[in-house]
Amino acid sequence: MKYKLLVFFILYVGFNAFSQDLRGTVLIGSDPLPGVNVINLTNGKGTLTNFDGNFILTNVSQGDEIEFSYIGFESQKITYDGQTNISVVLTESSEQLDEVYVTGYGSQIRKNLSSVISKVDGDLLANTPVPSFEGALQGRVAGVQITSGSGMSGSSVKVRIRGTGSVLANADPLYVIDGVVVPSGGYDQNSYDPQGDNYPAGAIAFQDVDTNVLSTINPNDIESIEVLKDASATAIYGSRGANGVILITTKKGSYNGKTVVEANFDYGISEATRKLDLVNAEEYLMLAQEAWYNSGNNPIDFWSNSGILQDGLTKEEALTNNTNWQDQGLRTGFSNKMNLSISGGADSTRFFASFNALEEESIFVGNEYMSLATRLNLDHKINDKLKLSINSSFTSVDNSPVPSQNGIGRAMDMIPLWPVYKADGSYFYPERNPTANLELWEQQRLNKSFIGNWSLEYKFIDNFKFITDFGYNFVSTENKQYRDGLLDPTGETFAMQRKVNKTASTFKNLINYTNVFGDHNVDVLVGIEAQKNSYDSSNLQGVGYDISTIKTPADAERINGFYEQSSSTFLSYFSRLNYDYRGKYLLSLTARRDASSRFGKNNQWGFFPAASLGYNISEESFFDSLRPVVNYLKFRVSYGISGNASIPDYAQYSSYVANNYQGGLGLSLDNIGDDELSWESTTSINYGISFQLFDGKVKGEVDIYKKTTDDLLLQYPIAGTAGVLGGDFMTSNVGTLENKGVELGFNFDLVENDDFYWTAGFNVAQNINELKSLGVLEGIEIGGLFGSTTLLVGHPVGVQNLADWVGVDPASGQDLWKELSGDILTTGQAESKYGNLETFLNNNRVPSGNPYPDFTGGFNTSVEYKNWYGSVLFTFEYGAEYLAAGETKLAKFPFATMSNNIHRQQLNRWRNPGDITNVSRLTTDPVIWPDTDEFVSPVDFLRMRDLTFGYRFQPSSGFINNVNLYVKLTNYLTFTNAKPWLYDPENYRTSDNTNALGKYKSVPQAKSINVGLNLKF
Amino acid sequence: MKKIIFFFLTFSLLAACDDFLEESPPTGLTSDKLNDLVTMRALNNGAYKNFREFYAYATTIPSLAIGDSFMLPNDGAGNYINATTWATTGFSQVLTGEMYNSSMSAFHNVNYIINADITNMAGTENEKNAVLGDAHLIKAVLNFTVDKFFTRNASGNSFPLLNTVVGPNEKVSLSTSIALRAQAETDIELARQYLKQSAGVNTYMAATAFAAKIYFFHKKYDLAYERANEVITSGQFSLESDMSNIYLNGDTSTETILTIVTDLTDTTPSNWGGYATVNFDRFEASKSTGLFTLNPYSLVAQLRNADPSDLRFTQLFEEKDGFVFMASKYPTNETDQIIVRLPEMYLTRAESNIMNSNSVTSTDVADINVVKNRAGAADTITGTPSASAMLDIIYNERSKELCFELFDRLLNSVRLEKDIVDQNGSTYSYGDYINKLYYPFPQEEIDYHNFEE
Repeated sequence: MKYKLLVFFILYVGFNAFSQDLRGTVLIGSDPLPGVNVINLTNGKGTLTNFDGNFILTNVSQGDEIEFSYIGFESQKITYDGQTNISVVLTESSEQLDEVYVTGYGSQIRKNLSSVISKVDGDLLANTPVPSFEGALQGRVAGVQITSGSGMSGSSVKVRIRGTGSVLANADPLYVIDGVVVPSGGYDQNSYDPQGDNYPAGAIAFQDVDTNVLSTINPNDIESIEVLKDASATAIYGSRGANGVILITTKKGSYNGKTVVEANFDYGISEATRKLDLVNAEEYLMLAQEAWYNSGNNPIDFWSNSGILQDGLTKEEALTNNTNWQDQGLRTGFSNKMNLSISGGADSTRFFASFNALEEESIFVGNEYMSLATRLNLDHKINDKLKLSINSSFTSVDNSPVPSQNGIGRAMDMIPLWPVYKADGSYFYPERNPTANLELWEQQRLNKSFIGNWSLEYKFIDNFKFITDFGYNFVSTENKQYRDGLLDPTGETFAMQRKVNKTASTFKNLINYTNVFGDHNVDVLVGIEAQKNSYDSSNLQGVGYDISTIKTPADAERINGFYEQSSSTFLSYFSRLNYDYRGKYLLSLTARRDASSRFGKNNQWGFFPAASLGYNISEESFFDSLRPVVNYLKFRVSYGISGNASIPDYAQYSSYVANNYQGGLGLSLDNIGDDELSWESTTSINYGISFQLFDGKVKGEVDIYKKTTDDLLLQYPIAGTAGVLGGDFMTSNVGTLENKGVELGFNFDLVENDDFYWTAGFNVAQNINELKSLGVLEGIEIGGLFGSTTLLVGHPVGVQNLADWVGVDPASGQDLWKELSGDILTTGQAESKYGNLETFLNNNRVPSGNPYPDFTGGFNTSVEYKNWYGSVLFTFEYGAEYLAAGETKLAKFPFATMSNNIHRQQLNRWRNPGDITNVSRLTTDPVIWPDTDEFVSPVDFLRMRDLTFGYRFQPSSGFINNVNLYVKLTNYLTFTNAKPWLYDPENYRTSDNTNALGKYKSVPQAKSINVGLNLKF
Repeated sequence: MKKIIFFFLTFSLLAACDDFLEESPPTGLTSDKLNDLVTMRALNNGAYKNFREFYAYATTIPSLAIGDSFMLPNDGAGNYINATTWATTGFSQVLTGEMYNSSMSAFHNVNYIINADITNMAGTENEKNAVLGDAHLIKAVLNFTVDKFFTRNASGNSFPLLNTVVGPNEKVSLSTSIALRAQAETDIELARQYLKQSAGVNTYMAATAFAAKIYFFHKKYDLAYERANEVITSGQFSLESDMSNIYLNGDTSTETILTIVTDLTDTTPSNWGGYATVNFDRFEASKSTGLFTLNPYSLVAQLRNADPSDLRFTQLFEEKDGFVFMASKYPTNETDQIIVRLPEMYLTRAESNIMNSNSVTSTDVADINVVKNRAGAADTITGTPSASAMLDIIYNERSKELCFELFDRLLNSVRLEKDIVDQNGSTYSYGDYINKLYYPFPQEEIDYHNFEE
């Protein structure tokens, strides 16, 4: 026994003699650096530096290799030879190749990425005055087209990554915030209804406006955004990643960091980027009388018979008016924003909390917006093995939107000779009067959204990690409206109260295995995910009110109720292998199996694999001689299949909708389902190179890709004899759509020294969208709210069949048209040959219009000189076109009814034989409604999206650590060739791809000046 | 190792099962649930509801085509349809979609019912008879109407004959007017047979009255006489003294027999929301909102000029701003759509009797005088005119009584091969227009089914 004790004692002492503690400090320059990883590469033990940069690494033996690493800094290694206290100085890495990119369900450093992921730092999005954070991405990421809806508060933003990959199914990318899938679109919208829900049952009228759900995400909370573009990156999201994925990571605080308090105050004013150039009263009268006379009417009868005097107006009164109707709908906008955040942490806990308040009156009269948002992110390491994470945010929005059918949208419905008010103070012609519509049609939307994510991570054994994660997203809106009977032809007063609730819950369980076998790094992920989405809406409509102070539907003479409910589920099994050999040869394999309740029982499951290879050739030894010039070069290739199931939840079912007849239940066939309905699948292939030159001074990426979407989910025409109420279409899988293109992105560190930094960046992308097949058909006409859209093989989705307008005949002043045969006819000749002009136009249509830009991109530069800084971002699009809404046609033919405003270009009308002009002879002929390409406008633009300059400094004393003062100009310069009847080249009103060419009313965008103050404590 | 196995087992248990993927529509009905009398009745109601859209423009378009009305040039939207050229150019395809598509929806419903296993559904015999009676009545009205609007006089080809539910990928071919007429007659008799046992939404008398209309326009005057006589002698209906009450009361008027009711509680999305908007308000007496105005050259206008005190003009027409509007026949946009009312039975009975026998009886004269006297007409018939003279009288009387009510004037003029006159006073003979005035099929249907007209 004694002998054993002696041996044990000797061994124990000996062991401890050889295993010691290593203490030290890690610095950058002379400043301590907390959170640095200190790893004993020999025995795998590790620790982190504390707030003072100090560390204690235990059980270190002679000869052990110790590595010090920290993101953005060059790693260092030492060999332990008995030191007891050391000081390590880390230097910043210029390569930024160790920058961490969030990928699906994990992260990778940039150098090891073989898929296509672009990253945007949150700093670039902070303090953005655009309605929603996605808008601030415009021009920053190659291949991502961003189109803002309008200058309305909370308006929608259309995002397309590498083109539109679908026809009927939603083509929006997937948005994931801290691991929670968040639906895009409006609060009031059933996200998977591509036509939008602009006119739900019981609505008072069609309205194309809603509050963008994503506008409630506080840009100041965003740490980074990763845009996943190719199949390899998106495959891990399988079923919903076909249109690309946008990962948003919010700020988290830091371990061992001190508490940082930030406050931001921002004040802005805004104006419309452009107003339409319309005629004044005198000009209108001149043109109207000319049209009256040209049509063979007696000039003496003009005032009595033309219809120009409406609603009791006299000639004498009319001649005193010169109303600028645009001014009734537009104003100078104001915004106040305050943001407060607190972040920090200790050894095992870090947190981030924020509060944001925004109050805004946009450029649209009547649009009032208030938003309150709060966030709490918390990570806590319960012990060495167990970690808890909670991310949550809540937003409340009170919005009074103004749809384009109201306010400024009605400016074209009134002529300058008409007053806003009559002599007795009442509204003139209230049905059409924008002021009356704004003041007598009350609208309020109360929106609330909650996004929450709870996650538990357990290292149950070395190299294995189990993660269970529950995400929940809740969106609700209450839409209250009251429209006075003065605005309705029937005189009826309407009220509506609509409530919409949308929830999405996700439960996923992952096992992650990571290990290093010599030079081989392996990261394996397997997982299971279940998601459920629910939607319900209740709408109460009241009609008929005798007392103007009673405004709720419950008090109406007649009450109508509507209810809608739907839900869908997804179930997924997935796995991913990331492998690299010495950080040189990279491989990523993903396999995913998804099922959706939206498809027939025999077709619910889809299999979506992906693979990518990368070769960091610059890591090869033979590359050493090139390294002074090309310090980094990587070749990438990826291939994969992803799916899309973004269709209405019950498209596969043949269903009957309920109605009433004489108080009894009625049924009508509402949808014919295809029980063979299945996944739309997109096969993507991408070739790319990433490189850095001159020690990272020049960084670039070039990618070439092709995405082919098969089994398109679209509304395939069926015979009317099938008896579907209101439509002869069945959602089916048929057809093929292709997007192919090239993306280039470059960044330059032009000057970098102690006092002066100058960087620049440039990106450009080209995407070509083409419908390759539609089954046995060459084309399909899909009916819509504003006429039909044609899908044509060999053309982009959203192209329209339009009659070919050639110009104006100098001899007669009539419009000139091109027949399919190639002959050019005047209006008179067309009428004579076809019976009437409308018949000619309907029978001589050709595919026209380019719904998508050929090129998109942006360029930016930023400078810093001591405490001063400035940056500018220009964005551009080239090649897209836009088809005018009906109101523009009314402006061409305004004199049939003498009740529509006119663009100033009408002053250039034809008057005498020989006149060369593009404006035909004025007459009182009625509107020609069939679409023609006269109303297609190019919408190329170069826009100064952002100009910021500011001054920051650290006060020498006091509790304020950092002060940043800035001025930011947004959309302040725009160069465009858009036709004068468009407010702005950026127009977006719907996510419906079939109407990509437009046809909705054009409304202004906003340009703004913001001044702000950021304080850090 | 044990830990690894444990976690993988736990992990797999956390996976969801396939039941998770079952989501069926919580609102509305899927087709597998149409298996009882309640849903069969609902299908009938759905088909009746479709009639409002089916007949949406069946008043305005025929009145324009026959020249009874013309459209004012200023309708507030700048639209101006020169309807008088239809006699030479034919109807535009734009006008036909409503009737074609709505009929298909209604045909789907009634064919579903007729081909369903009603016999073995739970319910009383009366309930089953009611369901089948309504289904056959609806089908008879559909076939009768589409025959009248879609038949090509030159070839005799017409609307497809649909006796079963048509699948989404099925092709059909055009039928003949003869076949459609035969089917309409078969269905109306079945409707009468079933509804005689038990009334459904509509009654035996409603079916009988419509049977009278069918046979009348099929020129089967003996049967037309029988049916009209049965309705009149039933005593279930009586004439209103104030004619405007007919249209204000609609379905509840004492003289309406078959009506499509505007259900104000119906809020189902239909076109632009709720029950179909059929633009009855375009008959309003307003130069700015009214659209259809009486053609001064038309037969109706001449008859009005001849007897301006006739209640059918004084109570139902309104003159304003130099135009004449049929405002009180359509007092609101929610007016019920009247398909058959009692005066038509008197007119039909009298004319059918004369057509059969080529002679005039006192009962025939009395029938017409009932209609005239209610309207306070100045030209009450005295004595017993000749058959040809009486037929002229009846033609005029029917024109005065049923003008601007569905398409009676158009069908009647075609039946008797009368001329039509346009807003400029130009006349078009039967031979001029008979091969023009039919509804074209929607182009996509022609292409899909390869219709050969």
